[in-house]
Amino acid sequence: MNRILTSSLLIATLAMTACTNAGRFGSQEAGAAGTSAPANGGIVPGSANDPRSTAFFQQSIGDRVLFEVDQSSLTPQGRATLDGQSTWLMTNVEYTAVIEGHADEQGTREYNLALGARRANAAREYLISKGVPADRMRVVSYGKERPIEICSQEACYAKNRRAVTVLAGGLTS
Amino acid sequence: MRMVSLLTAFLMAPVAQAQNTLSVEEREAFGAEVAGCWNLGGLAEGAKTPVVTVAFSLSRDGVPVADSLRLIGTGKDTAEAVKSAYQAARRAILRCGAKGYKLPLEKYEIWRNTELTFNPERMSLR
Amino acid sequence: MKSLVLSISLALISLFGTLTAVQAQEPLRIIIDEGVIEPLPFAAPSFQPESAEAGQLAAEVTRVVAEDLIGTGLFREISPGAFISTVSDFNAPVQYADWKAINAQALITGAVNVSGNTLNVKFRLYDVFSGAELGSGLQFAGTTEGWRRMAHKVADAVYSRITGESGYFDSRVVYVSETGPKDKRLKRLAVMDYDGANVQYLTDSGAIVLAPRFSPSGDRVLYTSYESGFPRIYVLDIGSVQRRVLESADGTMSFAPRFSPAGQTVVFSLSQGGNTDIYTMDVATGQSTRLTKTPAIETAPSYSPDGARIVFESDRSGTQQLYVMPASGGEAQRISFGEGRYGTPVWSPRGDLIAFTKQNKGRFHIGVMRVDGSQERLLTSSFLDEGPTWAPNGRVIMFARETQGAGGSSSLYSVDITGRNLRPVRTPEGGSDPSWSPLQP
Repeated sequence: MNRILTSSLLIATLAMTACTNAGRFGSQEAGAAGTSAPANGGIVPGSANDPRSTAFFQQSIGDRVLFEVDQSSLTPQGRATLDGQSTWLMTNVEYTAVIEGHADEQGTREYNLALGARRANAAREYLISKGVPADRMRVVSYGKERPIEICSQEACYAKNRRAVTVLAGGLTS
Repeated sequence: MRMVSLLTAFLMAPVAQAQNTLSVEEREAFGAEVAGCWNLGGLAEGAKTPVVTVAFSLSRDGVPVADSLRLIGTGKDTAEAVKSAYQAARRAILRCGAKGYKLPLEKYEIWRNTELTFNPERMSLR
Repeated sequence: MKSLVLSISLALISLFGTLTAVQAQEPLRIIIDEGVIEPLPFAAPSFQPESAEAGQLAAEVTRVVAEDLIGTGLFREISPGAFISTVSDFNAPVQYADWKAINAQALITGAVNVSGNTLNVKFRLYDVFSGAELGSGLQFAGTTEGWRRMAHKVADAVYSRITGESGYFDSRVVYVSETGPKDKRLKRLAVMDYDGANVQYLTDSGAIVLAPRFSPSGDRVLYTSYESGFPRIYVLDIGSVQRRVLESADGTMSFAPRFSPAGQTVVFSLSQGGNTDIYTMDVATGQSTRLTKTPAIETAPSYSPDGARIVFESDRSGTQQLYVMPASGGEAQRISFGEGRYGTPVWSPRGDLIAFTKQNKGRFHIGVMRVDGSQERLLTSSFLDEGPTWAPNGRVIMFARETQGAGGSSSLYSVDITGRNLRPVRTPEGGSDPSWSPLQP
């Protein structure tokens, strides 16, 4: 438990992103925000062009899958994203992950917590089926507590119905 | 506004004679006067208030005799609910009768002793 | 139907009476089946200060008594400007004619005495048109600091004598105080008087906290917190603000806790491997028992007041619906069959009704139904209403209403079980997940 909290703080500092802890719920672009391209064109460890970095995972692999209204089954697009995640996780074995399940605001608090748990678990089960060891992944549900988009329309709801793979560990583990 | 059950009035009609009963209109007018003061708003149960029957006497000028009021018929409801329903009925009778109900004096013997049954069930249709 | 039967039988009695009674005149019998529904007008002249220091408090106590009564929607206060009589002595005879003249149906008089830190409040209630006292005078003693509670106790007694129901004013509400936009919402536990006064914060906003629930004695609160990084159930002592986690296995999430009526057991939801089921835990031993065993989502459990049954929501039929099962688990009976989805059922403290959140055609409603699912009645409708909690007398429901869009926020409302008297509950910040305490001792 402690390990995971500590690690997520480490990501924030080591990756030199603009992320705060709450920023984990923020947009995918957060990893790149505020970092300009390095002058020598080389790879800055931890930046988005370091293929072993959290930022790379978030932006190039895709850290999240989206769900249909009230559904927890994976879409073809979701499965493709998770295929990429599983390959990456099996290459970068030093990382562990917490998969966060989320729901849009159209539902009661308790039901959405349970629905978020289903979604996170669907992603985790898929990654296990692709060979990622089960003990590297935990799930947590936030229900409707942490939307990333706050309009009350389907365009926003669609982005909030998600399972996000949040990496921990990495360079220092 | 149908204050008095028409059925009651209909069944009464064949035996109604000028001097030994009130006419349908007289009964309805009396009922309507009381109904105007029967406030269920102060009751938490509103229309679910128990049915109560209150017996009382009236003076010749149509004013209820305050200490003649008594509860006579109640169902199986809890004592507290009945007590409140009785108080609401009592308030209705006394408040609207404070200046005397408009009743025909020549039929005083008929309405001298009255029993009013307060049934809120129709109110629940609102 | 019943009224028809009654009419006929009464009519037959009258008929029979008329035909047979030769000498004695039968009483005139009339059925009144229509009345009016309007708030009962009352007068509450400012309570008499019986000591020099009591002047200010006497006025404030009177105000809170009046506001409690007005807030129910069942009473209307007659403005003191209309009074003909003044009440200058608590023990002097009441001039009924003066109160009748302004159509006050109830008259509340009182006296307040302050001696050091001790506060005494006396009151009498009069039924103006009967010209009699309703019940006998009562006196409450407390501290000057707790003056609002004394006022609530007077109002509870008045409410109870007039309506025939027990009161609910001397009670508290624990809830989640909210600030910030929807994507950065900060939440912390707070407890307040039922009317929003005396707010006290119980946690900081460092971790998400959800759905606090009072213990049957009102001294402890169960809630869900993310302080470990995962949702877990905590029990917090309101007096000391000490909390402890209810143990749960690694890799699980637990939430939606509620105490049993005896306070020794907690019923809650536990999520494991994506499946959410209902469990109970013995608070003392920590031993837990699984009550539901389906692959469906089962959550939001709530005990019947006798502790024998549990109502909960499940999507085992494909959508969220309400079910009732024995408190020890076993076969569950579906009770909701209307259109839409049903969640967050809560058993009324009187045992007769179940309050719930209903989602239908893009709207949310708070509703009540009988425990067998019949006589469903929706009390509210909005973009997002949820999470009902019962007043201790089972006549009023408090819930949270979240408004739409990017600037949306959550606040508390109350409504009575007839759907009348919808009103906001004032809190210093936003609010959600209210839980009403029992009446205080």
